[in-house]
Formats: sequence, C-alpha cells, structure tokens
Amino acid sequence: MFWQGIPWSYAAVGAAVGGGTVIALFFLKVRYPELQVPSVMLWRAAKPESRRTVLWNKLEHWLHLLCLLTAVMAIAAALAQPVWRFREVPPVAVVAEPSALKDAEKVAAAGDPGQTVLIAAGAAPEVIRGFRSPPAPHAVPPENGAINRSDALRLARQWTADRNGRVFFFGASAPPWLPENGFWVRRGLPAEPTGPPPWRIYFSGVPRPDSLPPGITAAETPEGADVIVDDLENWGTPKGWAKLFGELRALRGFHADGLQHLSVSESEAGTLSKEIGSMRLSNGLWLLAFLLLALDLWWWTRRKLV
Amino acid sequence: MNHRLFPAEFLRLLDGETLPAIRTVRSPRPGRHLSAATGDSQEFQDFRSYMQGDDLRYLDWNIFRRSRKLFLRRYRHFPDTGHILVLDTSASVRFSWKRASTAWRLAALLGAQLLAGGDRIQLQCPGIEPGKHSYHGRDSIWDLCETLSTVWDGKADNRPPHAPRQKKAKCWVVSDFYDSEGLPELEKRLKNAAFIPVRIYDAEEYDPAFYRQSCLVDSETGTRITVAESRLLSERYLARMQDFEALLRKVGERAGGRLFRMKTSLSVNDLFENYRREFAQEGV
Repeated sequence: MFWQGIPWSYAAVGAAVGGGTVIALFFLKVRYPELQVPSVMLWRAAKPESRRTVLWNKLEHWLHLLCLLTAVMAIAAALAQPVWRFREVPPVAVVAEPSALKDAEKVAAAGDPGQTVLIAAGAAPEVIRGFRSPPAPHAVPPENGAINRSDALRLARQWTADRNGRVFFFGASAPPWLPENGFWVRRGLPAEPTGPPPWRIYFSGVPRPDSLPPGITAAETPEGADVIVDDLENWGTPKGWAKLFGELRALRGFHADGLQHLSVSESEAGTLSKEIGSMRLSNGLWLLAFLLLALDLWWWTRRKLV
Repeated sequence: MNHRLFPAEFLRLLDGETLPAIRTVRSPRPGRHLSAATGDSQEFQDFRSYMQGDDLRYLDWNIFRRSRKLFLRRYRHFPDTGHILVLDTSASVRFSWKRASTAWRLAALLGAQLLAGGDRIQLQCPGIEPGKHSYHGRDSIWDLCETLSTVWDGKADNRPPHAPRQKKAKCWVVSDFYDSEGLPELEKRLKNAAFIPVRIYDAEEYDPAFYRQSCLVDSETGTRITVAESRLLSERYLARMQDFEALLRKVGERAGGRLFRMKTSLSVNDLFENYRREFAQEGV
C-alpha cells in the first residue's frame, strides 16, 4: 500500500480535525434544548407508532455518528489516494514532449497506477503523474520552447533501470538517445504489424489460440509463415504481445530510419504498458463516502419527517 | 383568601351583577333558569282554564266567586338538581402561573355565576379534599373563593378529572384535558362521559412551530419527546388537536352543552370579557 495524493500524515491530521468537528456538531445538533410543556399527549399521538426495539433506539444515534465519521475518514483517505499493490510489475516511464502530452496522458493513465510515471520533457523534467505528484498537465506549458529531452529520459531511466522497466518517449522528432527497453512512440505508425500483409503465423506443436489480432492470420504450414510460434506462454498478455511484436517489428520495413527497431505505435505502447499490478482505492473511497453520506441524509430526513 | 389569585378587581367582578344574564332555556336545566314547565314554586306564572283531573288545590276561588268560572293558578317551575364544578388540579394545569390562575379564576367565575343564579353547586378537586363541598346562594361566592384559595395551596395530583355519575346534575369540568396516559386512553375514558368541558389552553399549543427542534418534557410524567423540524409532524399534531377538541365537543354536546375554551395569559379584565362572550350565549 502506498499513497499517491497528499501525504498520509496530512490525511490523518485532516481526518482527526474533520472527525472532531463532526463529533462536536453531532452533539450540538442531536441534543435539542429541553422544553418543559404541560403535556406531550398530542405530540405522542402525532408521532407514528414506533416498532423499533429499545436496543435500536440506543444504538440509533451512535450508528448515525459512526456513519458520519466513516465518511470523513473515507474522504481523508481518498485525498491521500491510496494504491494497493497486489503483485509486482515492471515499472513504466512515459516521457512526453509538451506537444504530445495529451497522447502520453492516455497511455500513462491506462498503465499501472503505482508503477507508471509520466514525465514532461520541458525546460526541466517534471513528473506530472506517478510518484506522489498530483496530475498536472498544465505544469509544462506547450508554448515553452526550451525542451530538454535528455534530462527527462535520464530521469525515466533512473525510475526503470533497476527493475527492468520500459520507457516510452512521445515526441514529434526522434529522441537523442533511448535507454534499454526504451521505445519511441510514433504517431501514424500502424497499430498492427502490417508490413506486407497479411502476417502469417504458424503455431508449431501448440494449439492455435481462439483469437488473433487484426492483420494476422494463422498459417497451416510452416512454409510461407512469417513467424513460427512454438510457445503459447504469455499469449494475449502484454508480455506475449511484446514478444510477438518484437519479432514482427524486424520484418516491417517501412520507416527505414535508424530507429525503426525502437518505434512502436500508440496502441502498441498502450498494450505494452498495460500490465496492472496495483489498484487505486481512491475511487472506491469516494464512492463509499458518498454512499454513507447519502444513506445518512436519507435516514436523517426520514427521521425528521415522522 | 389568596389575593394574588383573586385580586380585589376580580372579586368585584364576582358580585353577579355583571355576569352574563340568566336566560330562558328550552329544556328544564338545573338551577334557577326560567323554565317553560310550571311547578309548585311560590312564584306565580299565569292562569289557565280548569280541566278535568286538575289538582283542585290550585283553583283560584276568588275568580270563581266573581265570575263563576274555574281557573287554575300556575306557578313557575324551578328544577333544583344542582351543579358539580370539577377543577382539575393536575400538574399540567399547575404547569405555569398563567395556566393555573386561569383555571382557578374560571372556576370562580363559573361558580359565582351559578350561585348568583340561585343554583346549588358542589365543588370537586380530584386528589384534594376541599374544606367545603356544597355551596348555595349568592353569599356562598366568597366561601367558594376561600375554598379555591385553599385548594390552590394543596398538593398537585396527576389523576385526571372525572365527572361523577350523578343523575340530573350538570357537571362542569375546568381542565386542559391532557391525560397523562395519552390520547387513546382519554378517548376510551370519555367514550360514555357526559359533562361540559371548559378547556384552558396556551396560545402556543396551536402553533407547532413553537415546539420544533426541542426535546419536550411532560410536566406530569417526565416523558421526553424529540420534535424535529418537520412539516408533516406539525400537520399531524394539528390534526390530533382537532380530533381532541372534536372529542371534547362531542362530550359537551352529549351533556346538553358544548365545549368552552378559554385562553390563558389574559389579564383579569380580559379574562372576564372573554368569559362573558363565551358563556353569555349559553345562559348557564
């Protein structure tokens, strides 16, 4: 478990302050001023018959308070944006020039929330998603002419190198260099490896899978097949697609620049960075807080009506 | 005599001269009301021709001597069945000075009016033993006030007032009619009751907004009820109030009267004026 929003200590302080306020307001609100009256006979007749047990009458107020406190705690925790990591996945760094920040945002948003960082290559590299920085696409203004790609890529390598992660560079022109497992995401590159179509795959000694990506057909014989697959391990997973695309990429042949072997399309980048190993809990916490408050409001309103 | 409860200006009003006038009523009612029926009192009413079977003792022999015709003398009928005046001394009536003083003064006014009319009344205060029970004649007004002053100092009793089952007696109950057992219990008790209710009430009892967002504490039982700000609850309260008064009205009509209502927190003069207005049309 780790936090992506405000530091957890801040959230704890916020929760304590909010909880204290709720408790204070609760007692101020619930304890109506006592008013001595000649008789409550007609008020008793006006109130509907209550079938609640004595125990429920006693617990009623405390459940109401508990509901409010839980909602406050959930809001504070949601602000801290907790992320639950249930398995280890390789980290992904998405480096983007300001002009390509929007596309990079999509890829970064689809990646693992705990292992994907989005680094804007501005005058100075700035992490705008991931780590503990809140998302702030406006942090690097697009009109900022001074772009330092090298420092941004260095920061990305620092994040990914020791855990065999991948780096995706979003830019209009070729990056000055790319770290190991680095890819240049080029706009307009075909999503599927469609060199001289169709690509034909022969499955050797393994059963043919039910689904194949578009542009790829299964060959009946090894002769004439572009790729021979003899291992279905990781088939259909990002890792499996990376392996297949890696083999097909060498056969592609139309972007005959020096970085052809490092180029991927946006959809390929999305597929390669989509390995999920952790889960954001903030949305669930917001939902929980909303439901609790709605339930509490409904109950309170209903109680007031009768 | 409790002079705070019955100040001099109030006692002056009890002399009977300014109280609502006695009127003729259609049915024979207790007390010295003029009645359509004739009786054996000393007061002459009129003559009528003799008919077979009439009591010969009422023949006017002077007329017979002068005209040789038989006429019967008729006398007024004054049914003497008495009144019972019940004053509720429960905690809800004694809740505040304005409520209690209104109830006591109302009882005094009612008693004074009946006594001034020559009626016989019997005072009952549930839970308290008044020194003197029966009163008769105009001179008893001061005795009644003395007794009411004594009762004022007596200990409050939460027993609801009840009308004694005495035939031919008209029973007046001065109370707020709040039953500590609740409205259903009161309805059950009043199912066959026959008395004339004289209800005292605070103005705010008809304004549910006065009570909202409060924890109401019953002065008699200590029962607590939280009243939240709710239009629905206010409407239900007013509906119950209407039911409650309809019930009292029904009880009053069953006893040949109606429901009398008197607001509290009135000055002595305003109370008297309201009393005149409220009771004048009835001719009690």
